[in-house]
Amino acid sequence: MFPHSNPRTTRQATLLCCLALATIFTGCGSSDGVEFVLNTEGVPSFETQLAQQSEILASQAESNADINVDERLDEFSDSYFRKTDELAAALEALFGTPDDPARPPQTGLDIDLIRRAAGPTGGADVEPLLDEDGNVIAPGYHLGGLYREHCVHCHGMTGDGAGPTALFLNPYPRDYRQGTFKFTSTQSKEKPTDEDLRRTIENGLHGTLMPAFRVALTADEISALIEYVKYFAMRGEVELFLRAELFESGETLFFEDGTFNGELINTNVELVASLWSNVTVVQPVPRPGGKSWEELTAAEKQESLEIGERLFRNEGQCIKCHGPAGLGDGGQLNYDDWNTQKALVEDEAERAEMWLLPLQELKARNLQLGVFRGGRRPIDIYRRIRNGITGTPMPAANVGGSPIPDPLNPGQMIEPMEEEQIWHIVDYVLSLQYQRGFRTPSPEMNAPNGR
Amino acid sequence: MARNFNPQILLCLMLIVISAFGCAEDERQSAAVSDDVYNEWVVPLRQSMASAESAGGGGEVVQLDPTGWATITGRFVYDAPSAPVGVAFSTTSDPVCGAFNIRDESLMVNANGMGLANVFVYLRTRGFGDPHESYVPGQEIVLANNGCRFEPHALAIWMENKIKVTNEDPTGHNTNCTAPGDPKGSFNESIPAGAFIVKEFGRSQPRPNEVKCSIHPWMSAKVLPRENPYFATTDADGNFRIENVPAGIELEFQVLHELSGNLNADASWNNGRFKVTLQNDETHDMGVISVGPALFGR
Repeated sequence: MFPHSNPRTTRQATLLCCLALATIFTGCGSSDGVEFVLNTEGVPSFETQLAQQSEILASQAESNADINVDERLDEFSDSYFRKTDELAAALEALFGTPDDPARPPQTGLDIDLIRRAAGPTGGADVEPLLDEDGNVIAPGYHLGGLYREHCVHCHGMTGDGAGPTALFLNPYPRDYRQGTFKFTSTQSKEKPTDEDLRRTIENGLHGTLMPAFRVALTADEISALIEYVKYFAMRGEVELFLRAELFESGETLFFEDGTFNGELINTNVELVASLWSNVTVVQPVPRPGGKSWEELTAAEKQESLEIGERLFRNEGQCIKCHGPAGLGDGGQLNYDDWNTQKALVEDEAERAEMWLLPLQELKARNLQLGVFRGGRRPIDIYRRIRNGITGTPMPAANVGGSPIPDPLNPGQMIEPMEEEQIWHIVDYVLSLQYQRGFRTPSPEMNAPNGR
Repeated sequence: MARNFNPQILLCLMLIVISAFGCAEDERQSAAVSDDVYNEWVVPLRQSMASAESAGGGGEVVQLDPTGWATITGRFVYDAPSAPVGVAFSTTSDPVCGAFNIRDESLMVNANGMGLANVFVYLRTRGFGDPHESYVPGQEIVLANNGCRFEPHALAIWMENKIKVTNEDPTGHNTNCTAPGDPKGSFNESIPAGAFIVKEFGRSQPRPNEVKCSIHPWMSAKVLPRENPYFATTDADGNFRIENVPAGIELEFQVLHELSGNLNADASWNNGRFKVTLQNDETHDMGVISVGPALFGR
């Protein structure tokens, strides 16, 4: 293709090369990339929405001559761009920008910690704001730049889990903006505690590209990043609620007369803040008999494993997804909450228009590998089973309910699983990694109906 | 070929491709605002936040006194030459479910009469005292896992009642309900064959919650918790009927469908809403409300 090195061609190529490099470093358009983006995940583009609207109005105009389609489409466009401005303005007023973060007081977020995490890599000093007479209106502060140094390349400037490396990772980095976190000590589908987030940052997530920061960062630095993650999550969820208020409920945030809908904005901020302040940490019940695994005799260990296997196959329903041998091959194709909606859109071009990252499927964990993302301590496994894994298909265990039909003896009833019995499943799950190959299901352990 | 290979040019090409690709990929909508928007909207809102630390407290709801009770009814009809038929799901991953013929239920139209099912109609107006005595609180409203689908597919529920999720199938299910802003109503629990769970909702929702089963990903239901009992979902023939709604006050009703969102069935409706004032003991029949496929993206 390039038989000779024509000096002219080379010069041209070098020029193009420089241009390309410049584009890479400056990003596209005028922005330098240091800005938040709006969450338009799952939202059709303006052009698509306009086309849909046009079709609906055209069909309604057929039976109703009063409808002026062009006028209505103009109204739709005006409203779309005005609402987008309203959303961006409210978010900036409430949460600031990457280099000037703010937080509504109701969130309880610590602005000093947030500032330590925000800002450019290497940190930056923000000068105090002075009035004409030199009086300080707003004091200066230091930005620590920790997030952009350690996290942004995967989790993105907006915490959208779509940093430059995200496309190449499986699973994708967490998009914080739904406020959904997987590895928690709290009730099913509740927010994590600070300690839960600390565990994830300190230890990383095994089997994923999330590294452990225990050595790279001090405890204080991790505290700053925990606060910044919560900041992204609250900002993100407030954005989703305000977007719904604007675009679905037809509300207005900023009125024509220059006032704003403080009540509506406050209600949504307080709602999101309350989700973080009202959580219930699930205290694990003691193991049956009160003895730890290490304290059990060989016979007791064997018994616990056998009960665990029975529960794994029957009452616990684990085999439904994890398969009879725990290989993660029991269920149907599945997705986490960040991909479920994508999976419903079959047309790939349509999907690419609505979501930044391609569809990624989720497999039930292969328990024989002994790699547990949320931690491999017995208490970690206990919590995954007891509370489920938020944002994924993994449900919380059904404990202490009413008697249920016995799958092994039709016509008879059995007691449902008790909470302390979860420990038997924990023992069994942790044993699977040592028993690769030979622990295939015995026929009598298989419920007739595949429960 | 190898002799003429120029690594510089290849590098340049790669850079050009990367830069072009990078730009095309990033279609994210900036959250940065213009100077005008900043000065007119951002600054005053930021100032009010800083000055009013405890500016919260939900808005006062004006108490309304109805003069009596009335009934509102109507029928939604899908205006197309033929009824759409949902795509059949592959359900063979579970032998129990494989026995059922299960189809996508996101747009249910009765071929006999073209009635549109699963339309939510609810009263949006707030501020009424105790509802009519025909509404009994403390009941358990059943959402059944039955035949490897949820029955009913669309369910509205008064928050004074609880939801009982049962499992009538000889196979295990789990029920994963996502209720935005409502930790109480958000749950994902395993429900073995013959078992059930009872849950409550903590937030009246403007749009229905998504309910799924992880074990059988085709399963889907829409559950709408409301702070008052004045709501209905259309039946298989497209009919709805809400009895004993407050009379003598202008009421605003919201109409929703899972595919359309706000259902602007009439060009005069905005955000899927219509207003009506009912007389005491009146039965207000809205008649046939015709909706075209365009509203559902069909």
